[in-house]
Amino acid sequence: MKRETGDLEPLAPVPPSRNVEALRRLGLSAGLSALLVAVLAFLASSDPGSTLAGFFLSPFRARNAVPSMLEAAAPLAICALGALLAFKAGHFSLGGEGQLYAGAFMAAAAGAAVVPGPAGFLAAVLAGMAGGALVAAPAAAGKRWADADVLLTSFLVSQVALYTVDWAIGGPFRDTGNNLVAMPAIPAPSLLPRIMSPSTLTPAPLVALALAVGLWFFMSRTREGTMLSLYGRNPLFARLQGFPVGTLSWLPIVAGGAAHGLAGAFLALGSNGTAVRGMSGGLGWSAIGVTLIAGNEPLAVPFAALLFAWLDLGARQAAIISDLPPDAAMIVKALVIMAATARPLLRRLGGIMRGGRP
Amino acid sequence: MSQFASVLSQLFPGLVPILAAALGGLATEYVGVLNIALEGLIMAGGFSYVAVGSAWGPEAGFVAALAVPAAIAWLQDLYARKARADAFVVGLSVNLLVPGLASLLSQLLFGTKGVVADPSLASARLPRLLPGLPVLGPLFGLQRLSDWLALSVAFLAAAVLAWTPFGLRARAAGMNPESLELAGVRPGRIRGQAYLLSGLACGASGAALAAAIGAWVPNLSAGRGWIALVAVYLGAKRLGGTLLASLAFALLLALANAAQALHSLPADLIAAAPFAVTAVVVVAGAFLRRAKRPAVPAGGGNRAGRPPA
Amino acid sequence: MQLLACSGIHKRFPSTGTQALAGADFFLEKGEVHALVGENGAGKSTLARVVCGLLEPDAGTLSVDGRPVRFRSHRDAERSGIGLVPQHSMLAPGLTVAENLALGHEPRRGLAFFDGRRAVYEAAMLADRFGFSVPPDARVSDLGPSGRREAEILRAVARGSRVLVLDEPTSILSEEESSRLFALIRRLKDAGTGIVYISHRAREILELADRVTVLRDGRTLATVGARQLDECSLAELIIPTGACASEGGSRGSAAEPVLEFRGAMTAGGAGLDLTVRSGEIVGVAALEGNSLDELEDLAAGVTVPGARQLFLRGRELHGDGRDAAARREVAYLPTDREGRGLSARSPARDNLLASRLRGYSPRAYAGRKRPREDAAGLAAAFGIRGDLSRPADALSGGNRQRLVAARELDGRPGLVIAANPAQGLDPAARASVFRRLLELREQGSAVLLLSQDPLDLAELADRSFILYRGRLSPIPPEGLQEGRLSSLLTGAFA
Repeated sequence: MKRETGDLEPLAPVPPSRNVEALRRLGLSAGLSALLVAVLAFLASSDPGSTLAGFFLSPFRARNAVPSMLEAAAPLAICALGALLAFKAGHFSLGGEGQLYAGAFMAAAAGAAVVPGPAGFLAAVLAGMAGGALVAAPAAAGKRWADADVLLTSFLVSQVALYTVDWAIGGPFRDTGNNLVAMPAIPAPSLLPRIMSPSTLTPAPLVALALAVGLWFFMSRTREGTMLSLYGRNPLFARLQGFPVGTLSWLPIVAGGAAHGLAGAFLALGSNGTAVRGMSGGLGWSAIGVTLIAGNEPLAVPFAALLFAWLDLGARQAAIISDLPPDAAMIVKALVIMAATARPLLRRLGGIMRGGRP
Repeated sequence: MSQFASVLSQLFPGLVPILAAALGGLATEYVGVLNIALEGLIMAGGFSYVAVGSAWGPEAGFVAALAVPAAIAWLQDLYARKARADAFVVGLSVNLLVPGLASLLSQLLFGTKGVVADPSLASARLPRLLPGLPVLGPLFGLQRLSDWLALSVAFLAAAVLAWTPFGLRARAAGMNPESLELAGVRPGRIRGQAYLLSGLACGASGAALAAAIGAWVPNLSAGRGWIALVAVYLGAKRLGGTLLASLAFALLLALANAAQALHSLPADLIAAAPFAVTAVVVVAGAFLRRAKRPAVPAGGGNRAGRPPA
Repeated sequence: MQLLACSGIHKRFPSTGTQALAGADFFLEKGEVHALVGENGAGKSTLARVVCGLLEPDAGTLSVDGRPVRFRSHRDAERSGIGLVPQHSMLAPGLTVAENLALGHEPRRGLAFFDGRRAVYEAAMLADRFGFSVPPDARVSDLGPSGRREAEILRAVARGSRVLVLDEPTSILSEEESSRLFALIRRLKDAGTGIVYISHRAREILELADRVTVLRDGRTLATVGARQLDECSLAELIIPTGACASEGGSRGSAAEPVLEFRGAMTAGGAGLDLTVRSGEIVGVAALEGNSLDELEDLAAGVTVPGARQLFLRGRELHGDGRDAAARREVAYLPTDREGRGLSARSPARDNLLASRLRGYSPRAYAGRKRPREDAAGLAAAFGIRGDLSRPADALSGGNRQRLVAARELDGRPGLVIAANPAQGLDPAARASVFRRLLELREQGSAVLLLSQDPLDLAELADRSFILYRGRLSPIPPEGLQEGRLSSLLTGAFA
């Protein structure tokens, strides 16, 4: 017969705090990424050595490589922060791709129209944010007034935005003098300044970092942030507590859209110098992955975004010097996302790494 | 009249991939989970058809196109359940994973990252059925064998959902898993089988798309998985509704194509139209439903298959 | 030989940390109705689920006909002839009665097709055999409570039950429906079926049962022959009544009306009229299924009342969130503590402070010192133990209950809606919540007390009502004396 447990049972170990957990998730994701890259290099490349070199050395060795990695991570992080805000409020907005693209388009249009200089820059940024918010607005309104499924509506409207902007960039707004399908170039004085010439580094990564800290402060240090996360996890509870559920049902979606629009504006105001057809290129989807890897913790987002940026850049470098296709990064991203969201697996791995039994 | 006939003849090949994938989406909705990975599973089917078909012939390709996505879907659910990962997130990852894998494998097998064409894989058009009839003639005449095959897989999936004990158990699992537990059936197993069926149906959809052009192209499904998902929702997650919604989408797409040919409207705007129409329908439908049930808590529920807040 | 024997059953739920069973014994003879009684949380339902194979015990033995058995699923139990009528419906609501009965044993036609007509036929035969009137081809969600219960019983006996476990089967039935159920139970008993009957209604138990086993804190307290008991001694066995907790506080004359129902409609029947004034506790008691939950939903603003039906301090209340400001002076202790009282995956501290967030200045809140101190103070005052920075669902069940009570009953709410306030609380916590409700009344709060347990009303309420079939009837003070309670609840009074 089994021995009676109950009162004699030892107390369960104290679970780690959220920060420790986020850190562990990030570490495991990075380790797993490196492992997967190595496995892929040996499985899929005829020259694993140079593939590995492309992934692990080139992104850090080449001149300007680190700044350009930071530069690539910035829009990813900004999008991820926008998605995080909506997710925290319980709205599963999948419209990031279209919001980003619309933001880039509006920024390019405004940047080319307004007098070059700080005014042009400011106009472009504001227009970009408005563009992203505009694409998010129908899903937000649908949620507010009809309780419509944000998951579906945000995706659908985003598709409409993608096709419409495709048409606009390729048609009425196209710069016919350009070989690329792109809009007229934004005048240089209106672009994001370079802060470390000759690299392409702009202040965008600093903005992303500031936004992450800001969102962290909002979520954990303000009453409104607390209400938002309580609402996100139990809307009925929030309503019974007298929280402003009307506002909470739409504003986070629109704000998330504005963040995507800002990222789009930075893309247009960065090295592209304008909006190019197809420039969103899956960034909106990657951003959702970044949010998930960061475990919905704002301060972890910049690091998760750097991880994804490294994967993209490394895959591109590896493709240049070996025969690994750049889409290998997608495989690694997908598997890392899957692993990062499996909670028990994460705990067990963490336990093994600390030297304990699983 | 010939315009009308051309719309009709485009309806069928447009309908089959959407319908098959929508039934795949319905299979997991029956057990109460949203399978966001339809798009990825369609691609898995299309690529398997071309990759296996180019080596062992279109018949083997078709079998692989069913088996591979079915296996992926089953594993996807197994992983979500056993690792207690979120089904929605795992589905999103499959949507990333499949195109990545396809690109890698096509580089390894065919030495190209882009289009893999094999004319022998293009499915033949069957001889004209019902030649003289006014509507049915253009509708069903001269269609491809692959479309008929994919349609029969779709029909099979519909039959399994509608008429078998499995379909009954799946619905019970979605409504109240405890009812199955009391009946001695493990709900997790039923869920796994529903995913299997989902992958199978999406595979048929992908095979039909690849066989129509006799090639693998990187963006083969071109959003059909999403349209299928929307068809499931518009059809109120029921079989009849899903069939009707799929038909409506196919008709919309065929009309859009015809309009493009007629008036040289910009292709991009026409491609956007079905999504815009659907968004309006989704919101209007939600509004009407809300008017019927007076008190709903604002905010998203926490159904399985949604990401954790 | 005993038909069914359970001895030394232990069951602990690690997720909530509760020891639901700690050495329960239970023996069932052939052809007897054996009542299983005890307070909420005594372990009755857990024991029923163990017997039916839905839970595996941590320790202890089960045997059927003297042979030890081990059930890994309900199907194993079913093979030993054990059927369950669960307390909360385990039917698939969108399927028909016949389809629900067929689940897991579907009749087939052809190679693999479900034979729906045969399922309907089989269900009809079964219903006929037991004199049930539930239509086999009706969708479960379209049935009323008694139809659903009939369907549950049909499913339990469909596989030829030798042991039938009924978990609170009359909780949603009317008197007439209940007496039909009793007739059926007697018929099954005469045919040799052993029946485990879980209930806390003294009258039913005395009417039906041959023996009574009392559980307390997961242990078997005693097994007694039912003929040795009367309603009083049975009630004493279930809940040992201490002196009533109301310490004679002056029941000051009530003043201004705070909450008013004016002909509010419930699905169950006629319009309800009820006024709760400041400085008084108005109690409403009812059995489950007598629209008490509808009354709760209306009062709390979960459902939208009809036009001009519900007023808070003379202002009409809407339920759809437009009255957020009004909600803030309402404290609400919901029956569904988890679903309505907590955002369980958020930190316990945020849950604790949710109602007073607006009281902090942005600076004070960002500084975190004051909110932390307030939360710690509340936790200490209400005896909440656990890490407040962890999600609320990491707390044990009892601590979650205290958390909701602490948040809602702190401060000076204008109106308190307390729905089954003692549910799930141990005696000490119950006493402290009740003391607090009385304090709030003294401070001038209006309190609406909704409870399925008339003892709660006896202890707290200044005025009491019975809600029976959608109608409210006042209870005179002597009506709440012990011994008359069960007759009150089953409608004998009304």
